[in-house]
Amino acid sequence: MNKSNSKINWMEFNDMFNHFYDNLLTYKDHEAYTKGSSHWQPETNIYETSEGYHVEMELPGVERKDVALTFEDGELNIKGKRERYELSEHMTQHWSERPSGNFERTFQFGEKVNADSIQAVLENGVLCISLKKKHELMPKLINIQ
Amino acid sequence: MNTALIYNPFRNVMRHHLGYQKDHDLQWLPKVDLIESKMNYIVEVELPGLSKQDISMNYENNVLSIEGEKNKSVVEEEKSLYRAERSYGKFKRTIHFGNDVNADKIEAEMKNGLLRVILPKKVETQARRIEIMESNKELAAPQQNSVETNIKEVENE
Repeated sequence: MNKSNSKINWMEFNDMFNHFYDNLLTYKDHEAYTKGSSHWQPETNIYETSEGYHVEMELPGVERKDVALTFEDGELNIKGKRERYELSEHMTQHWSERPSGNFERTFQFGEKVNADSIQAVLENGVLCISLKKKHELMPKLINIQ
Repeated sequence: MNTALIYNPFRNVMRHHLGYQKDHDLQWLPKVDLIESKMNYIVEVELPGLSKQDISMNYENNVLSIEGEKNKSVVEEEKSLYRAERSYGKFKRTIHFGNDVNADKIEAEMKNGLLRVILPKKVETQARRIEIMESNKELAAPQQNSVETNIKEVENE
């Protein structure tokens, strides 16, 4: 490797910056983070309410049969695939921004979620998952005497 | 020092993640694929969470433009956010075509948050085989009528 003291190694700096930025994005101090290394990571929002969590994942053009959801050891795993438009002999792809193929994302919720309460709906290309907190973690209504 | 030369990695990152666009008020750009087949152009636009009522589309001067707005639900704003990767707000995308689109026959369908637009090509622009006449008699003494007849024959084939 070419060692230069007078110049900043921009590639190294770039790697350092990306590493810092990736860490910033994974929110490791929160209950949800990303694992997996597929090149297509569908955009996801996660909200918390007093009763539970809501996960919304953008999956435009994905059929319900092509998505698999599991919840194990406090981790929500979503994986599936999207087929590329089938090009026949006389077809040309001029422009391609949409990723295709397999995707997989894992979000950690820990011991807080009641696994039997999880519900999921795929509507207009958005997968909405609701996860309820365990009963003892839910806010309690206290009667005033 | 020329400020334009200062390397600022945050600027592009923030612009990308906050959907900041200096020149207009568009907040995000939906992802688009463009495919050409023998008979049609096919445009696919990712619009997750939108239904067909949220989208307006027109074709004018060989330009297909698709615009609309993706709004957050009121419930979403009240919740505390852990992860925010989805884009919201106004969007517009324009795709330029040549003169070969039959604008009257454009069709679009919305399914699973994916908008597919089919733009058929004009029939004239599809490849046509042209036959070469063997008889050189007419070429030697061309007459207006016979030439026209020949062209018609070619077109019929």
